[in-house]
Amino acid sequence: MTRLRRAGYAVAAIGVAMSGIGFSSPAPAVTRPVATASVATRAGTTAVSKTETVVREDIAADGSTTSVDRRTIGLKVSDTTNLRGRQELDVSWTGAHPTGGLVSDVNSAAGVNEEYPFVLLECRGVDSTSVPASQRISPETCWTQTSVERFNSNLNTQYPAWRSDAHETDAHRQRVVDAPSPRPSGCTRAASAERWIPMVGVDGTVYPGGPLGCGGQAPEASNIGGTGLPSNATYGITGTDGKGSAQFSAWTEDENATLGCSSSVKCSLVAIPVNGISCDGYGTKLPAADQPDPDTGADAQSTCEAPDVYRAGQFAISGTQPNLATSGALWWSASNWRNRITVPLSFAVSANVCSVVSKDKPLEIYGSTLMSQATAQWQPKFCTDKSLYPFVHVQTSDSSARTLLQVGNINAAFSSRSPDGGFTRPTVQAPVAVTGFAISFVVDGSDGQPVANLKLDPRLLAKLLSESYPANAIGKGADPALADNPVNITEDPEFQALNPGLPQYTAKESAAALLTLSSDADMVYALTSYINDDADARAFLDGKADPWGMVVNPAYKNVSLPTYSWPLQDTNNADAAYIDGGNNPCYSHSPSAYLPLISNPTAVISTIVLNMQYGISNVNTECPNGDPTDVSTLKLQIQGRQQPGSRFLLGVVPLSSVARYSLSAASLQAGRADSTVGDQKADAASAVKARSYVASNNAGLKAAAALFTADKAAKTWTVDYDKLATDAGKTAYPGTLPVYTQIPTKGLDKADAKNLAGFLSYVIGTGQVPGLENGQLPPGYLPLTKANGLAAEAGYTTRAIAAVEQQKGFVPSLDAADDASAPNNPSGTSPTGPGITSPSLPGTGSDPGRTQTGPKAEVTPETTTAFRTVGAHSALSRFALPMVLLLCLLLGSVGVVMRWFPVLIKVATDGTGSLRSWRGRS
Amino acid sequence: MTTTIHEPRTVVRQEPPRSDGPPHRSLTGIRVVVSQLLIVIALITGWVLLYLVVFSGFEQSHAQHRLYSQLRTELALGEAPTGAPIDTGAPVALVSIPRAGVKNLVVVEGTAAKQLQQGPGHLRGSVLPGQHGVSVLLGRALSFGAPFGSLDKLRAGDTIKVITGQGKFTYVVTDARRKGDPVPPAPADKDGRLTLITARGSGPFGRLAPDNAFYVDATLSAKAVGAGPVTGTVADEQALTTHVSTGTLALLALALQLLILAMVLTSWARVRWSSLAAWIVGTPMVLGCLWVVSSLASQLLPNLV
Repeated sequence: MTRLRRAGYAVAAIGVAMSGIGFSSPAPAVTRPVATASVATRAGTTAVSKTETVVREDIAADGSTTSVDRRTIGLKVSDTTNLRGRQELDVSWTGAHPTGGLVSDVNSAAGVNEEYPFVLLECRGVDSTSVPASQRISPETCWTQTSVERFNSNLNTQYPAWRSDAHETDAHRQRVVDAPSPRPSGCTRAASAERWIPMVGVDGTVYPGGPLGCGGQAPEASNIGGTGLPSNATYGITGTDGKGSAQFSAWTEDENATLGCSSSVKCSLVAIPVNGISCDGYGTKLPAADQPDPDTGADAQSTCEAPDVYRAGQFAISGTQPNLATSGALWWSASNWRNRITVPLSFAVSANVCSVVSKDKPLEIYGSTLMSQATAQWQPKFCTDKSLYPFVHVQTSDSSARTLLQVGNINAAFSSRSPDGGFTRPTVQAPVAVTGFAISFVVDGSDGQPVANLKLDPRLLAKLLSESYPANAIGKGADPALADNPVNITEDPEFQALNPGLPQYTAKESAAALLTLSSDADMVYALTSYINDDADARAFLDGKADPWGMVVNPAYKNVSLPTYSWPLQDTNNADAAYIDGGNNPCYSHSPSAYLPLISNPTAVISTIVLNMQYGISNVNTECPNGDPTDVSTLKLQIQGRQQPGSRFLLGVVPLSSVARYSLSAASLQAGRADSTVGDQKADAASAVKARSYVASNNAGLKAAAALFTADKAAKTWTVDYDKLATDAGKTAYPGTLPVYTQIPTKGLDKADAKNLAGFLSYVIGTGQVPGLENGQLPPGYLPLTKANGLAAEAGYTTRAIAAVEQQKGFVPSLDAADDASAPNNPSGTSPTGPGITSPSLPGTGSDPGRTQTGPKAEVTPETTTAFRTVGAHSALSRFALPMVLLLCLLLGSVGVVMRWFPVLIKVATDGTGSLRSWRGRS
Repeated sequence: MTTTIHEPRTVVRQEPPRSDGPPHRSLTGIRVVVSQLLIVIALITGWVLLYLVVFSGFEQSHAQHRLYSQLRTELALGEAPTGAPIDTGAPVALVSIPRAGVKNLVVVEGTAAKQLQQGPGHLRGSVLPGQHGVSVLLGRALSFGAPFGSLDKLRAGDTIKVITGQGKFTYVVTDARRKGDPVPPAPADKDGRLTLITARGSGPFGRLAPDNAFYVDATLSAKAVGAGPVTGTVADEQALTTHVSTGTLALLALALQLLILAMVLTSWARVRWSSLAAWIVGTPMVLGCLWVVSSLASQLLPNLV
């Protein structure tokens, strides 16, 4: 009976253990008892919500504790897994103390002066007591950008609020805490009370910080908002209803090496709802020796309990000191830190792994920046999967990649167009992606909140690019012909008709320009083709005024389009009065054409993406601290980050960056557009409004891909902008662009050819499965599948694999049927099948029954490695069940032997005894 | 005057000495507990094996019953699916492979572990059987009735019969292949191909360890019908992938709690009622819970096992 009962308990114990495993796997570790977590899966990423109860206490002179403020805070974070560098996480919270003393830029150091901010920080480590102290989060592993966020001092009293913190340890309530000893030479004399919060780097380096960073700061830190990445430390604003939200930029070691977060170094998003110091001014929690005398204690208590300076929701007043005890400056204090809500972040394996994992020299594929997000997800897969050969994507302009390919310097290029004049050696152009460009915008509406949708037509783009908005009075002075034009796009009646209700940013030069590339790109060629093929835009560029009387900048009249890079043709300097006025010593020092300073195109696309993500204006007209007597200070600088609430920026970016960095993209005019030249203003406004505007989503891409024109001579599919400008193109996104991998089919050495064939084979198969994991296709690309109407393109790439592998100089035709009798077709077969490509594409291969004819009949169909079954293997199924069987037999027999050991021994001894007696008898 | 001295009396017990020596309860107790723990683990692992190899087959035949009547109705009404979108787990075709012992099994849409518990699955991203192009079916090799467990018995020329909403189709097996074997050429314009995928192991525990994908190709003996719409492929549903969904884990955790509850109740019943009553009431309850736990836990194995 008892035996059975014990067995029952053992089963129950194992059951409990197993159910524990079942629970702990889906939910991230919850380390403190008051927090609860729930997880929801969404397309490969994981959203997390948590709740936490926070309390502010007050300790009287007799040591009695009263609760002053108690709140239950809920936190939601949109993505926590498979994160990549600079990914924007949507963070929202409820139930927090309303914030006072609001600042417009919650990422700036000014946020420390907010009262009751909701502080969001990225910290290295996990919030668990079960790991060594070096792997735990602490204020020392949390990133802040500036020195004021990590240093507090007070010259007037020895007992500022942070020394009265009831939850702080005795050692941390001393007069000077964590100051390096000896004091660094660059630092000012110690104040009455100081608290240093050093930053510890991932390599263990300690950066003490101190006043103005005198003790040494991390390389990424800066004392003023620098030109680098804006900080991701966020002093979030809670509304009077207790709710708030912010976008948090998650950084990897690529963005911040000191913090050093990666797939192997664990990091967390730490939310610290600043709720004020729990005041123990009398020091009742301290040993008697450290307690202040009663008068000082009373002073300290009243300092700590000081009333708040701001009302909830009130904006910060310049020069006013907030109530320190409830301000963001004390985010690190024990009273605030203990209320933290920690959300573990998990980063995807980045392409950095390749340099570690792979010893072989990887394949180099040069070219299109449109591919950058796809290759960022493919690359780690290629160097961690042994069946694939690693590659690197060297991002260059499409045209220079084509040139390098032509002369034989490289073996493969990503590009969206054939070279002008065709290839000089046989080269196959295998479609690998359908993506495009987007016009990204950062526009704040009249309520100060970002606008979600924007409509643009080709004529507005032409106006922006052709520098036809004078931007400001100086621009009007430089180009008198533009004096009657709207000063920027927000004043343009055409823009207002399309986007009613937006504020007019009269003083924003950035609203007069579309940030684009100064270098060559097929993306710019596509954009200018789109403009060129629109009747209204072309008429405007040819000198016809728009219906509202706006005229083109004479420098761009009759400009020849399309073009690979936008030319800067305006050469007019600002007028003499401005140059001589001395208001802008940098410009006066070396005057140059003025409007090109407004457009100021960048050399690399990543700058545009960065500017759009952080709202940085690239207008190059600033002259801070310009001293006419010191030439070294006389260099024009960009305007930099715009104040949230009144931002207006437009830029051309790759479509894939839009999803990757949570940018906003404008809807572009599509479909038939009858000319409005010469119309009345009202007619023109209703005509442009009535047109179709298509967003840059997969539906728009799919509709545009359906209108691709097959170019049988060049053996590519091209975007036909005339076809897009018909009723058929009404739902087609005009920024769509295919990307090809161009690979010579003659002259490559055998290993390269085989590896490139393997690359194509993966990319057209598993590489087209949409998802956020490594090896999958990120958002912003339309998978090349039959379902998306791209069976012909995918089939062509599949046939190109053989041509690349064989290196017989054969370039497949767009239509497989045309190749059947081609003499140098290396293979009549085509690798479609489940072992090699995931999307099976019926009817795209050539007829295997046909025999090879022609003079080169000796080139028989040959099966290559690219045609071989890839197979699938699972180590789990190799070992799981045999192990279970072994475990069953082993434990079963050991258990049985152990359980009935005495009986067995007895049987054994009796047995041998009787054996002996039997022997003795005989 | 006599003084009586009460001398203590010693009682000598005439008994043989204890054969097991002086009591050493603690050591024996540990030995018994440890041995019982081992036996219980062995019983659980034994159950896991028994469930996967034998009992899970009952589960599949139960599911097949339901799917068969559903598909029969749909075929009769002409409502059987002919192209995407098809609900995950919905019946799409009836397959018979005489040589491999497969008779009128219902093929379901989707090939994640959960769907393959009900029968062979149709790989999303491939066309339906009978349509032109390559249609791909995946089936388990060991557990849940092992519908594709005997695919290796197929030889070139064997037939595979498939019934879908578009008619009856007969495929002729051309070849079997493993990793590294040549892939047959893509089917020509009006041809159709069926590829069956399962897993096969090697070595002494080969049957228990189906770790490598095994492919059988068959071509349609007649003309194929036109292909319907096809969805994109899903990474979690490829051969031998393991898909752990949060939903499954949550259900598993709940089922484990149910199991514990059942066992606690049984123990309680034995103390309060009688051993017999507890066994009569408890055994089916515990077995039922154990079954649910096993069914859910087996979804964590690779889909072709």
